[in-house]
Amino acid sequence: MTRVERPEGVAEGAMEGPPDAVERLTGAIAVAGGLLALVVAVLATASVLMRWLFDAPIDGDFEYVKMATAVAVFAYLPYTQARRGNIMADTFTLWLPRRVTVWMDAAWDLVYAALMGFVAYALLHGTLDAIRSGETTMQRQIPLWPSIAVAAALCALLAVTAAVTAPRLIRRLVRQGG
Amino acid sequence: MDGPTVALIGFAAMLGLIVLRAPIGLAMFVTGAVGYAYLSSGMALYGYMKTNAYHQFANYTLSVIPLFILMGALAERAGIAAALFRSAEGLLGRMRGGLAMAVILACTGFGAICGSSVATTATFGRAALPELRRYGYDGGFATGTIAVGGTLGILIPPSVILVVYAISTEQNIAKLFQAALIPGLLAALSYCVTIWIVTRRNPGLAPEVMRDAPVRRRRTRWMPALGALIVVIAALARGLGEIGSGGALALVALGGIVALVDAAIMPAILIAVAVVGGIYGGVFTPTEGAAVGAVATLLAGVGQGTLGWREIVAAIRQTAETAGMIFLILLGAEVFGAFMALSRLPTIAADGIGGSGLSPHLVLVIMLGFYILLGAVMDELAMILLTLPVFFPIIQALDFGMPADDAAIWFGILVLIVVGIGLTAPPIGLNVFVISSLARGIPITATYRGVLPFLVADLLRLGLVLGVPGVALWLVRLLN
Repeated sequence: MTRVERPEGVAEGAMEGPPDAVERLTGAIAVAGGLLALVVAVLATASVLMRWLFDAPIDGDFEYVKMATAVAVFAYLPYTQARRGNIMADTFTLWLPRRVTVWMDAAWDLVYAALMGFVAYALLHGTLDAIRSGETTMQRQIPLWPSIAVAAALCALLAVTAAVTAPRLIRRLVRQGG
Repeated sequence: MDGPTVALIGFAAMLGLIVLRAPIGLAMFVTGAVGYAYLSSGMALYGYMKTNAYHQFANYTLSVIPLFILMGALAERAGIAAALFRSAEGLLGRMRGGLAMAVILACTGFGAICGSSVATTATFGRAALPELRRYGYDGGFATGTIAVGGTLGILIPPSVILVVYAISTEQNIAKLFQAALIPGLLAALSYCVTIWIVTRRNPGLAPEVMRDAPVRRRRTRWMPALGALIVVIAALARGLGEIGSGGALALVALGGIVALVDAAIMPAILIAVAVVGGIYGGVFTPTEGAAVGAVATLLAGVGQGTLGWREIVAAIRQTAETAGMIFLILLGAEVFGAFMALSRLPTIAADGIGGSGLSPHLVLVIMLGFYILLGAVMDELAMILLTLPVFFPIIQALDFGMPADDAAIWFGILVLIVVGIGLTAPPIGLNVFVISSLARGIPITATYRGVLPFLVADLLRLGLVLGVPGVALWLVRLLN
């Protein structure tokens, strides 16, 4: 089983290099998503305080929380992929030479890329549907389509990231003389 | 082919993909999508995907997970774990095995802020391991203690695993958090007792009483008085009927903490009590609690000068990586679950086993045993997400002599305990891997040897909660 949340400062195995362009770009997007999550956390906290102190919560604050969470999570996924943070079981293939397992991992990256390309495409159509129907949230009447559109764009970025991490794996293998 | 057959083939195919190194969330997603399309149609799958990926993530209940992870990551960067450990060290450091007990005590406190066992393990691996080694603790005993202490991250609420269980089974998160508290504290107590026994039977593991053990308790005279005042107010308010027993309990706990603990860890303790107590008392929803906790931790860290922009960005990156990993599994499990529901396997299995006349407790024990075995080779989060769509309806169909809602909560706590075991038990314990990656020079087999005595304590606790469901349900009944 691979690690989760690799503790910082830990040697990360021979496959990993210093943060490259992919990791820096996806990292910046992930941080933007995280800051968005922090902003709605502040909003939710303000709402709790106002409900508690003045019995006057911020109406429909949970709708912002929901939207921001969806956008933030889509912003996190490419970074997780760039860091190879998705959990998998390597116990059963320990006997295989590294050359073989690296190619297998690269193949799965491509499967992930194809699948997320499909999801991004489906989400794009979901966005168009939401524009046509003019669907909004219940309480604050916020149109749904912009956040679905952002999710679709981030999902497309995830597909690209996964497509890029596959050749990166192979390059690193070649550089190590595999 | 009928639905259940397709579902069984799907299960086998998914396990096959996992063996072939597919990321677990991806394996569930792919087999779920193919099975779904096979049982309905490609168009139906496409229609399902159009909005599902968004709506699955735009889920108010689920948003509690990234927020709790963020809170834990901020707490870690703010140096809260280190402060907790120093304080516990001051309290217990002079006893034989006291530093190991201090790890457990500090993990208990940190577990009330952090909902992830891996994060707790990694945090204490950095905050406590060098200290244990410096005072001559045996390597495997030290790493084993930290790996086990790390499970308190999920055993003590808040707990990401319990949130996932609650979402997957449509149960109340607050009630599950309530039910987890007493078993969680029992776990901490039993780990301390284990350390006490082990270090007395084998004095080589921990050094002789350390005369120079640092005592760094910072106490003020007025704090015990303030704590006593809070307890008196709680008693009065309860007597006058102004607050419920839940509120009174929270206030008494708060008073006790103010009276007894060290000033350096007050912010951490206050945040933990406010978040967990607020969720227990229904002051706010778990999501709001997580938001309040994240903001309060941020403010405390910035106020103490331990959290700068650099640390905040690092905490967000760490949150992103972990949350991304968890949400890919959640997304895959959602698609796989939709496939399972379409196949009707869960309903058929539940009816079959529910009507088979098997003893409910026997079925339960078999399931838990299965979890322990599966947990030994598989990621725990994925394990419960994969099995619950089939296991949970069976549990609900069986008669344990208690309301179905109680059985759902009780089962959740039992699952939580076996997940904790899976995180530390050989051959694959995630916590053990995490601590091993931090402890160069201590072989992983030594860590597993260090973990073994604690597994005895875990099994005893599992048996206790299994035999006496009240251990978990008492607090839930008291507070509702």
